[in-house]
Amino acid sequence: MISLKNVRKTFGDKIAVEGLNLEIKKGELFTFLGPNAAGKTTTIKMITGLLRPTSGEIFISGMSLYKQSEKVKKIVSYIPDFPYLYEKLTPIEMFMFFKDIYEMDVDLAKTKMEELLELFDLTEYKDILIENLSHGIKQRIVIALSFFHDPDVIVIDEPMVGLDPKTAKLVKTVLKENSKKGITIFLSTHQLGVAQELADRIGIINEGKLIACGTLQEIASLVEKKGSLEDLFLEITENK
Amino acid sequence: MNKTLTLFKYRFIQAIRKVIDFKNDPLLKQLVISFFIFGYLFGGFFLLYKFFNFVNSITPVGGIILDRLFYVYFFILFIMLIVSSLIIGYSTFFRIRETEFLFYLPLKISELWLYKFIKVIFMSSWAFLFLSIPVVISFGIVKKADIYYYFLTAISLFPFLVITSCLGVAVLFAFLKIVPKKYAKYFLTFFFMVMIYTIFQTIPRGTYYESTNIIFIINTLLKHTDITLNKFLPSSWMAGQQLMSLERDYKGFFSFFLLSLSNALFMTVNIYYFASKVYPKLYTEERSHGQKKYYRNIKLFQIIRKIMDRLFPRKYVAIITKDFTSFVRDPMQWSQFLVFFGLIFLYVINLKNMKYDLDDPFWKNLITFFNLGAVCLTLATLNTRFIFPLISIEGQRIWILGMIPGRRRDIIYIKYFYTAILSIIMIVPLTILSNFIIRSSLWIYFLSILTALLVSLTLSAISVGLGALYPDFKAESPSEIVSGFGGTLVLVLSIMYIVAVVGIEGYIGHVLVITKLSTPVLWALFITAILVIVSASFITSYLSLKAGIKNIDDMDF
Repeated sequence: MISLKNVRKTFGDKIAVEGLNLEIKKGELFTFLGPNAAGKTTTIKMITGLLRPTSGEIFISGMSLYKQSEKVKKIVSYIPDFPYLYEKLTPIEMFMFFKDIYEMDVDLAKTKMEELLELFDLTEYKDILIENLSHGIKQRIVIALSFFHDPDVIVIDEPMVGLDPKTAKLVKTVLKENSKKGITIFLSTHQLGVAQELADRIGIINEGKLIACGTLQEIASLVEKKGSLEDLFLEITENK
Repeated sequence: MNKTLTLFKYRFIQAIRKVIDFKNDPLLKQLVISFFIFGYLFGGFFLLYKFFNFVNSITPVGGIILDRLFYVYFFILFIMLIVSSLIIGYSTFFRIRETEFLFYLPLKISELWLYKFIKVIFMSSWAFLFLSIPVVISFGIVKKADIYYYFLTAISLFPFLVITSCLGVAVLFAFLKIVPKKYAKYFLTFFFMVMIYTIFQTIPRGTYYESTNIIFIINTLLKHTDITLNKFLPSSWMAGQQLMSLERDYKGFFSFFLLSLSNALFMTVNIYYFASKVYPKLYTEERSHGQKKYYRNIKLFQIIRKIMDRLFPRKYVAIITKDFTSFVRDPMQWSQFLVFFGLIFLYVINLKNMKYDLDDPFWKNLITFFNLGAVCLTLATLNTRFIFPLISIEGQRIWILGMIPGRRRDIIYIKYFYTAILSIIMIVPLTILSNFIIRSSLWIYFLSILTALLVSLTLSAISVGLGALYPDFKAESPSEIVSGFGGTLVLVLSIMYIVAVVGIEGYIGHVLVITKLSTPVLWALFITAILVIVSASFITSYLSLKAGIKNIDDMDF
């Protein structure tokens, strides 16, 4: 579903991502881990088309991200760590904006919107200007919007930032359920607990290179050590 | 195209809400903004009407001069709109957060580009259009225009604005495409230097007074503006259209209008095609900053820092260093500063080319205080643009200042302290230079330097104080901060203060050099006026700073 082929990204002399090869299957929940400045956000921005690789290619659902960008974007959702919403619109209007941009059927969009507002406990805020809502509520709106157009792929950067424990639990459940339904999820996080709990596979990136990739058991076998993901992560990134 | 319309539909909803929000704003805010809008429209109209009427009444050349002024006006507007489109285009196409958001939505690049381009046209021109209303109306009334003139002016603006935005955006995209990023600042510095040199070289050097013949003088004066008549300039088409509609030559009007329209469409289609092709690549290049090492071991700064560390608490020196460093590293900030300051510097330097009678005390006094007024008004603009946003610009990081171990009000004091010193450094040498050039008397030297000092201290207090009173931590850029209520209030208050102070000072200067009052009366008048000005400056500064300090002290970070 998501395929990165020998992707390299440089910023001047600095190599941000080097020789990244990755295949993420349909319905897989892939978690991307790495220390600060390891290349996670750069990779995410390349997958969403916000940055172009210096070399290499990225395919989503078999389509080239750059040659068929409009088609690709129709099936991809992106949840950034600092989400952007139009502050002078209400949540409902934001949904309607997405309905127009994704060219959705009006009735289907309304039904889907009601479902998502209900699911993410947003009904009471639906007619309030977004500028008057808290960061956590805005984050919930962004997450709800990401499911609105039934994407095949969701790319998420730090999904739990600003969420209360109840919503965080809900988001984790929704992500897991949707991945079971066939949505591919690429999730970058610093919260190892989230990765351990949700991931089908985990990729660890350090200094721009993918240094480990596999299930939790496969990663554990790499360092011949048992313990939590935190122990494995530290072991791998410190003894790279 | 459909999605471009969708984007505008939601942009329009947001714009309407912003306007509706105005009625929920505090009464003071509503009053200040209304005063500013109607004051400009009616005051501007009144003054321009008087001026145009005066020029028009100069026989036999009034009408010619007035027509030429219209050409000059549209020429200046043309240049300013191109520069404005360039600056706003950079921010709209590449910097604001909305762009990133739209980039990951399923929009065709051409749809996204077109939306941004139309936004640039609107954002770069609305203020100029507003400023042009009294010009066009007063010109029409003086020229006894019929109703068609106003209607035709409105429709002819459309291609003119499209052309200027096309040129601004074309220069922007060409610059980003052609000039390698690492050489961009050297290229810009070189470009600015060439521009200033060119302006300096083209300044007329007072040859009109070699003859007393009015026709000769007018001819020489008009010759300097010949460039505005150039048939290849869209500004000359625009002015030509207006003059033809005034003369009811509608055939001529429509030939110019169609010329403008066809050029606007031709340029739009070409730029749409080329720029939207390179846009994604340029966008990702602009965002590929990497991790540049900015640290420069500049000895002079180290010495200044060491001296300041000895004189003041280090935590406050750290704030100054942080503000200064952030300013220097933001090209959008320092380039605009250079343009402002460069213009006023050129103005003062150009004084030496003026051939008025320097032996006449009346003229000397008038020019001195007009200069002082011009320099002070520029300082007011500089302060509003660069000092007023100093608190707001902290944005979501304001808590860092709130956590500084010390009194919160010290943040205001320290910002006031260094901005006042910087204002003095900018304005006092220019005042001395202008006095030197026109060989002022010692009285005038003293008065104008005292005024410059007071104005520097007071304008900084207004900007810092009101900046703390009306912070906008959500704004994405300093320009956005300034365009809000607080920025408008600072500009209005600063202008009112300058008009009052320079007016009183000018009057004292006039009494000193013109009238033959006895020495005791002269001294009494002089000292009273100085006391009034010093007190007014002190009270304005005190109240502004007090309001800002109270707000910062009570603020929840």
